[in-house]
Amino acid sequence: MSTASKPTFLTALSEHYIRWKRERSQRLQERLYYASQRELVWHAFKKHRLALVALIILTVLYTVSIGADFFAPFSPLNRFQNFNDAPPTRIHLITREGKLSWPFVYQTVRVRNTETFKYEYRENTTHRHIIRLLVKTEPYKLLKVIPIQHKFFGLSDRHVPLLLFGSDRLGRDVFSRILFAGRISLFIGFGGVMVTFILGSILGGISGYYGGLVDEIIQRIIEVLISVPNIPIWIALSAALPRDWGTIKIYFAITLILAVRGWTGLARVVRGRIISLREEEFALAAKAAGAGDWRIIFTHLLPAFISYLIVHITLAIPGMILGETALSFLGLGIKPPAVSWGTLLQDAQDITVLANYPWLLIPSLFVVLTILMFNFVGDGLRDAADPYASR
Amino acid sequence: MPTAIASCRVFPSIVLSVIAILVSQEVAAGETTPVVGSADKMVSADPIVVNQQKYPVPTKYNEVPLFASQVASGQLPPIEERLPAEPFVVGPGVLNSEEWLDWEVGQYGGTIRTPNLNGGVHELALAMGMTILRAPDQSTRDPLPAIVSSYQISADYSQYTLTIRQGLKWSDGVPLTTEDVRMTWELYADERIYPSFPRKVRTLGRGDGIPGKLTIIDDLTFIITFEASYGQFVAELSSWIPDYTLLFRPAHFIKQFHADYTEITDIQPVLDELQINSWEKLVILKDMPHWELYREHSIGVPTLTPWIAETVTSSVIRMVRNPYYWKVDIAGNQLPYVDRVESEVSNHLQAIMLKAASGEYDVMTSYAQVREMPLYRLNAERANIKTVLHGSINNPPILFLNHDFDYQAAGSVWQRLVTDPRFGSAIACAIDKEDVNNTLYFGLYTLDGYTRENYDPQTANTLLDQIGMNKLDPKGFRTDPDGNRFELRITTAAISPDFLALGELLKAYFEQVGLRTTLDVIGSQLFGQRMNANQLMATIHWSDEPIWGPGISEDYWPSSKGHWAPMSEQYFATNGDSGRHPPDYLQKFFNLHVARKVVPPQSPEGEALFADIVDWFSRHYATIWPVGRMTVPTVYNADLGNVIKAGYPFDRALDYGMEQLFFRPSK
Amino acid sequence: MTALIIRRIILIIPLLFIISIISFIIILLPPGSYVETYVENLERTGFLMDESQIKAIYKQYGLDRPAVVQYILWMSNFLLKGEMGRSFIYQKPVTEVIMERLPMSMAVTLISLAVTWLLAVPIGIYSALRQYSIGDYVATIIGFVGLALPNFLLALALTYLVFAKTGHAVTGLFSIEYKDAPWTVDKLFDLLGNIWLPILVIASAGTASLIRILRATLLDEKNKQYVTTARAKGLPEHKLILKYPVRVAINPLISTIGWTLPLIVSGEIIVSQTLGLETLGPVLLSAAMGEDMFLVGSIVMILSSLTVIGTLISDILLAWIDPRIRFDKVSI
Repeated sequence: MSTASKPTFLTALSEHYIRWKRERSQRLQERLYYASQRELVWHAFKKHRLALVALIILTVLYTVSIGADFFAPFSPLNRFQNFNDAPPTRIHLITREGKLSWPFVYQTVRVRNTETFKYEYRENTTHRHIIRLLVKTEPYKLLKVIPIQHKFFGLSDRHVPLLLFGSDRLGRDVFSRILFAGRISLFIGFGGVMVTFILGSILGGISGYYGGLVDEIIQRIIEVLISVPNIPIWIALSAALPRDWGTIKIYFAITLILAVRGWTGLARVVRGRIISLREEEFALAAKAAGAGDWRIIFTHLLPAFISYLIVHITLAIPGMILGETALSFLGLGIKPPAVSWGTLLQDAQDITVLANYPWLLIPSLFVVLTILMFNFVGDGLRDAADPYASR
Repeated sequence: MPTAIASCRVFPSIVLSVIAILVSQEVAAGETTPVVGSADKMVSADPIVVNQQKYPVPTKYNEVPLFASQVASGQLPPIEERLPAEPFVVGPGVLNSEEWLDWEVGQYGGTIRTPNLNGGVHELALAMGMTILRAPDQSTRDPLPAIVSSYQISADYSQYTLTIRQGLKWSDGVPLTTEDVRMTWELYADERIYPSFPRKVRTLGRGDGIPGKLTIIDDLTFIITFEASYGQFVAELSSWIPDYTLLFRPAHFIKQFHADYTEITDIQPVLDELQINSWEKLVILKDMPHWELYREHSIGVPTLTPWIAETVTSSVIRMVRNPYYWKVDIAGNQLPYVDRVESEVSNHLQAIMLKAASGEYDVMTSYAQVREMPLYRLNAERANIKTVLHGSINNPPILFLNHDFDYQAAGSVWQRLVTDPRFGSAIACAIDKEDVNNTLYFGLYTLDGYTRENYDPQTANTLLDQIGMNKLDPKGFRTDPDGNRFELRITTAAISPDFLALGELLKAYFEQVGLRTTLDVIGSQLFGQRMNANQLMATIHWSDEPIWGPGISEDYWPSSKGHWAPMSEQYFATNGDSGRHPPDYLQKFFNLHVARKVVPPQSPEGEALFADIVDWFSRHYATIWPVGRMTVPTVYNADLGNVIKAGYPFDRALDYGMEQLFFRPSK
Repeated sequence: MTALIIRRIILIIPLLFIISIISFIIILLPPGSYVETYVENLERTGFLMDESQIKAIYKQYGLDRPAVVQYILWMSNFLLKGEMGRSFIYQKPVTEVIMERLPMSMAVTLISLAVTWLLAVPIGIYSALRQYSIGDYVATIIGFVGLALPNFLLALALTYLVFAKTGHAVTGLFSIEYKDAPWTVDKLFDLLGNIWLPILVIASAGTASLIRILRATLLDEKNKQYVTTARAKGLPEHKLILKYPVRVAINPLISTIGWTLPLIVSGEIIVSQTLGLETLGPVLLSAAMGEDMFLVGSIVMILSSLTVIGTLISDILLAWIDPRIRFDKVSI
């Protein structure tokens, strides 16, 4: 590489760097050679930059949602009386005297405009409220366990509204609500996907492995299920949910509703793979060795394409999240006072909001972001899933 | 100039004594049916007779341009022959009181476009509301004869003599006669068609009352006699809820489908075409209430309404003026002024609002809310629309406390609480009415209503302490008086967006005074069923309080919009066969209700009794009012004339009275 | 293979029977009935029905009989006379309601599908050929956003933007005066002024997923043995791609043909609902909410049958076009 006639400090440095890189990649190659499949997948995945970034963003989203008690400045039901439909609080950096300051906000005052029939919020610039990290509040228990008395950020005066994303119709902080809503929306996918996964792989596996009558019956069930349109099924099922179920139960019921048809796609794929795999040598060998059917399916056949299942699941979660918002749109989803991204968007899906209170649409950005990130991660995983291929 | 109404307003003393008996009755009304108002007692007082209009009949009529060619070609008779001998004359103060409408003579022509959500009952149903007697606005006081030319009410309100307007015709040109009334009575009594005789034409409007007796005098005059005083019937005759179909069904039309009048072999082709399997069902289908008069199956049905259905699809309803409509204005124009009404059926409220804001509807009365005002205001110029703010026949959502909930459980905590006025008062005190008003309704609603308490959390706390809810559970909420976990369960359905918002506010208020509160939101069907089954402790729903006084609506009834005593109501309705024997204070309510029906609702006695009912509600907290009365906008085409003034205490002025709207030539 | 096809066709019969039962269960599962909904809606508007009127309506609709009887009557009329019963909401035979809405449903779906293909096929091929180019990234990101944005929000936001700019509400397919008018040039222009928005919204989601499928399949095929061989033989790259891999990648499109039939209704329900379109979707939705049982039952029945038949057709097509695919494996 070093063909330069006059060796300088720079060329020396670059030579050194190139050598270091080559050695590193050699070391990696060696490691790869002995690496387990999991390591290989991770290695391949890391090369997919977008997927890596997406994974980080998702991790952040999940973390702030799980730790919403800490990260959100207010509780999702905390009302600021006289601050309904307030736009995002303006954050200032320059004081009235023109000096640079820590980010601060002013207290606002609601004014009723009887011409436009809107409330307007005017800043009262007499007193600055500085936004602080790790601000002290009343003691509470993070995740219901860890006693703590700080919020991630906020104002020292808890009664001054700090509304990053504005407030809703009742004067509640949209930012905090989004974080808390993530607890339902980000996890609703998992419930549904688990059902999809279990039903899909078991029924698909059985169907493919045994064939014959069992296969026939399962395939017909699938055919019936995917033939009946979604929406009437949703309506019928959600109308039939028992009254005395709490929010949590209803929430699980809804994931089940979302999964009612979700598993069929997976089952078809699993079946196809099993049919081709069961004729392969290792399966036949296992059978010859006297292994039971279930054992063959679960210990030999399923692991053979587990990576495919993981990709499928990653890509199925966004569908579930969208499904939840669609259910809310139809008025069939989770009901207030519980908050999910679906219920937040339900508040936003009207013309008045679009025209006057557009900040209520911010939850949709979170939906889009999450779905995008899941898709990127899914793509990365798919590319990485088969680490031995074409490399 | 208006001629005075020839009515006699001497209040028969006999009725007063009847009321006294009814109110003081301590047993369920059904157990000892009081014999009241029998004919022999009716001696001293004079009957009420009304046989004149507010304005004289015009001497000359102006032909409708839309019909000019048909009249010229002889397809339609000229206007003089189409109208009754003496049409109903509309002028200032007839359909709306002069206080709320500066009435003007309009001009013929144009099309009114309205929205319709899911093909439901909205603008058009009210526009089709043609009452037998008519009082201005939403009143039933001293109504003018409308479809009838005169009415006479016996002094004890048990006998109603009505004379049909001579020459008044159905929309197909066939004259309206007493045969139509007779047919109606026949249908009511025919169990193949109506399983039971309708309540409103039974004595005192009770399910077990004896049906009114119909006596036909001649082609135009008939008498309905009840076995006892039934003053509420005046309101039924003047209300758009039962409407003209209460007494008049087109006999000549229905007979075609009725096997007693027409050979079944002649009916069969119709049955086949409509895919209906029995003639009885066909009669039920064709014998429709007025709020169905713009639906597909109403095409061809003779009506007494200003417009008749022309084409109806799943996305549009088109109606055209009724050539035989029986109202004229003081200048001799036949009503309605506007030739056509078109309604666009949409499945999405937001789409409707956007179209209203873009000026694609000429009248939108029942969908707009204060919250959308900025949208309509901002686009008013561009879309050539105006908005007017007025009251409503509805009131905002109220909290109903179910007084029958858990009544069977011995020593039920809820029963102890709900019968203790301090509990209801505490709940009322916990609600910050002003905050509700400012947050949800832009501060435009009133703060009165049947709940007298104002926001006073301290009193709420004191009262709750007094009734023994002074201990706290580990979560910091008040326990019930026995020291057990207490939970106030409010249930509602997302019928209107403010139900949920209000529910969330109430939950916050109640929790501030230490009451654990849950808010359940369920589907509206399920909501209805749970209420019927007496499974709900407290509910949120609106009602039609502003028209309770005139007797048009009775949805203060314990099992109407919010069920606040469904089992006691069942006991009342079944005469004690099933349900809950009401405790004294609930019995008092039923007594007041029955007594009120003896007299017309807007007679002095009727109003006094209604005040007692209001007082009863205030003292027993069956309904708790977070705010008072509503303010809602109507969005309308800026060129429309005869639009109600801002501040009108009701809504529904532009639909119930659509016949008087007209288009000014645009500048 | 013929035997297999015949077997599949015979199997459809019990399948449809089961579907009809499911349709009926769907109808009966929600509590209450149409009459309750109807009475409730009336009451909400202020109209109070007399109990005797309510009972009469129950009788008129045959709802006073047990569910099984209702089902048998409905099915037998369906099979024997081809009658689907009457719609309670619209007060006319179900067939008429469906026929009023079906043509526009088909138009919206087919045009959306065509737009989807027109956009997705070239973009997908481009993305695959120029993998990791700027164009590829742009296409991927736009595609993903289309996929990620809830349809109803996109529809609502676009409608509002158009309204704010022009004062015209792009809701519904026709202005009120053309709704039931015979076809004229004016009516067509009216339609064109409104239909682009729903089509854009419906196509956005479909395009996104199709681009991704095409791109992925093409990328897979591109590196396969036969392509490499052809490349080695000196076939120009664009011809090469168009000749083999694109053909294979078109397979997913063909399998969507079968699915198009049911998509005519169910695919656009939410968008149609948001925009108040005169298509079958909103009718199905309001019928299901309002428990208009025969209307829901019939639409579900028709859609499901279309799906079953459509799947069969696309399976046969696939097997026929691409002999590598064994029929029984593709079969569901």
